[in-house]
Amino acid sequence: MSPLAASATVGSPILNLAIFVGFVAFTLFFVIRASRTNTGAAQMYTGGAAFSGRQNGIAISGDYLSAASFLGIAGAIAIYGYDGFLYSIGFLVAWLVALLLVAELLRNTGRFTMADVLSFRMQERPVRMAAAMSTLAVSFFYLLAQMAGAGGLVALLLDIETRLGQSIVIAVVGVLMVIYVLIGGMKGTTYVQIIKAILLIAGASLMTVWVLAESGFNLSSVLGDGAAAGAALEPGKQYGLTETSKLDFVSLSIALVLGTAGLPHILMRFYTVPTANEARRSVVWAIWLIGLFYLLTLVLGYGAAAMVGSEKILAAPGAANSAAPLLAYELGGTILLGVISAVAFATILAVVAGLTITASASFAHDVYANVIHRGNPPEGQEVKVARRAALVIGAVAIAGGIAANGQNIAFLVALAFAVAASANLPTILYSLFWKRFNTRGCLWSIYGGLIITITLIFFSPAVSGTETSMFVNSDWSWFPLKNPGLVSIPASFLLGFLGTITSKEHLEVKAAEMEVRSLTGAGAHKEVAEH
Amino acid sequence: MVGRRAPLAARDRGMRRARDPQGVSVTGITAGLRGLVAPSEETPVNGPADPAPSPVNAPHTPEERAAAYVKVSESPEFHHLRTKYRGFVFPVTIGALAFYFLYVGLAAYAPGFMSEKVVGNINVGLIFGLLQFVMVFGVTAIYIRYAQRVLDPAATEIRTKMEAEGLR
Repeated sequence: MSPLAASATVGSPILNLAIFVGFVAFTLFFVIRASRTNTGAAQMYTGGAAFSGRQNGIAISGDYLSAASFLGIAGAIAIYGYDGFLYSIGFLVAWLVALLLVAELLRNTGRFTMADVLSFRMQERPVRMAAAMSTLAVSFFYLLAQMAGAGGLVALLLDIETRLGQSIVIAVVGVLMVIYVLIGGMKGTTYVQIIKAILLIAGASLMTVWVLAESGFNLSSVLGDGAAAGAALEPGKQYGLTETSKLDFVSLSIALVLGTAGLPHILMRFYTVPTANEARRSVVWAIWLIGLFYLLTLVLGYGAAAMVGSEKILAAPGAANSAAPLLAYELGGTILLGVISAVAFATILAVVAGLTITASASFAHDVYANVIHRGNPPEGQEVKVARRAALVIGAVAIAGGIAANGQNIAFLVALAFAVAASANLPTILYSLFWKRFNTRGCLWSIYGGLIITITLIFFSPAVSGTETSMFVNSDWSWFPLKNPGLVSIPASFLLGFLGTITSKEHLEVKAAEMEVRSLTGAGAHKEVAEH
Repeated sequence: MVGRRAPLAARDRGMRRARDPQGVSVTGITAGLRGLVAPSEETPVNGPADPAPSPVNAPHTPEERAAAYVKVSESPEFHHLRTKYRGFVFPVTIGALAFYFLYVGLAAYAPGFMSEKVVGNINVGLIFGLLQFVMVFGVTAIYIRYAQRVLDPAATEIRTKMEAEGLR
């Protein structure tokens, strides 16, 4: 342990802990209030679709602006400069796909899960099974990233340097998230996300204004100071070294921009509003808030480089992920560090709770109720299964988070985006816009996209063979790119096309109904009432 | 619209759907949050207990319903809506993605151009990145206007007509 790392533990662990506990108590209050009406599947999964577009839009931004956005992007910009900014831009432009092509149509044709839409006109059971598998896979990768972020963050804030201590913290985060989900369901989770979004955007705005004020509100000089400290102003510091790394950059950019509209926990949020109109308003609110936040990351990242310094950030426990908290300490000392850390902690809790509810809903609603019981589960059992699934998912997330502790969380989230863009987005777009699309195309695209993406990640240098891999000491990589999107996304589109045209199944009549419903909102909800 | 929601409630197997009338309790600290976290007033979940009665000639069998939907999908009104929708979102999505990938491509393969300084330390790459934000905000604003002026009235007209014919 270098002296730098030892001295990088900052702030007062007791104060930080007190703010954490305060946040948990504050949010639990809302979650318990929410639990009063938390009975039945509709309440558990979508809060009874009772949220307004504005509420849901704020909650979406709370769900979307994960620890990867706050800690990961600020860190990536502080270390690499301009290349880190790609995450912000890709994550934002992606929302246009969700706004223009997916949100409203999805709201009009589904009720609880992504599979509602995909299986609308297909052979229901195999398609639901496939959609549930990819939902679980994406949620798992995303959860890993958040849990790993929790480990690093708490390492910094509570002065816990041992692996065991960090693992215990990850376990505590996992237990809390399951408690939120079990008590509050989607409604309680939404409250947590709304509160967290407000705190996060307020906290980031405060820090941004503070950084700018320190330099006389001169953006150029913030950038210049950051660049002097190592955060490049030119593109290419992280990805410009070789032809392979440039391709990696392009590959990452594709996954970022196409992944959002395939993220199951984001899609599910469109069901928490009563109409497609409210779904549109949700996305518009989300775009404004998310766009504002990502503008702030630019100042935060270069500000962290300028005021803290890249070397000190990299030497801190949690490495690049510590940039934002260290900047807070530099600006406002112990108190601001405590506040910003609580915000980051809130961020992680809110996102993991959203992921857990999505994954458990998919298992209970798609696999249990519709695949196993063919749409007629025993009375009251579906919600019980969802609750048990949340427990299992919590356990898996804790174990995975402990294993992934120390990985760059922006990168882990990018992998989740790659899986979502490959396995989910092609089938969603085909379902909504291509009448000929059928069951085989759907299955080929989902399973093909899933298998190709995970295989390519497993055999990539991100997993083995280089100093920054998960496994440093062995090398089984043969795929040159860390980001599989460049190959896996086109492959999945192609598989969906090939599967469809090689199958004799024609579903054009049902497709006509789906199209009418998706565009007009006619019969929204009604189809589920008839099952 | 409210009546359409009733079957949903019916399906939820006797679950208690009554909303907490107070929403979230208001203490001094939480007052500011109330409007944000309390369920919205303008989006009621519970409709009247009984949906409006269907017209006598409403489609009953799945075959009749499917045929009715196909008929709607082939109507000129629906063709108009679909053309207006796709005519906007397809080119705009493609254009937005093209602009994004142009930025990505320049960052990866023309770093010299992107590093050209324009004002102070602000270079072409940064301006290009910020223009992506402008593009996203601009497209969002234009789409809302378009949807409200063109798409929503067309969709509502078709939906109202379908509901009048008992197709819901």
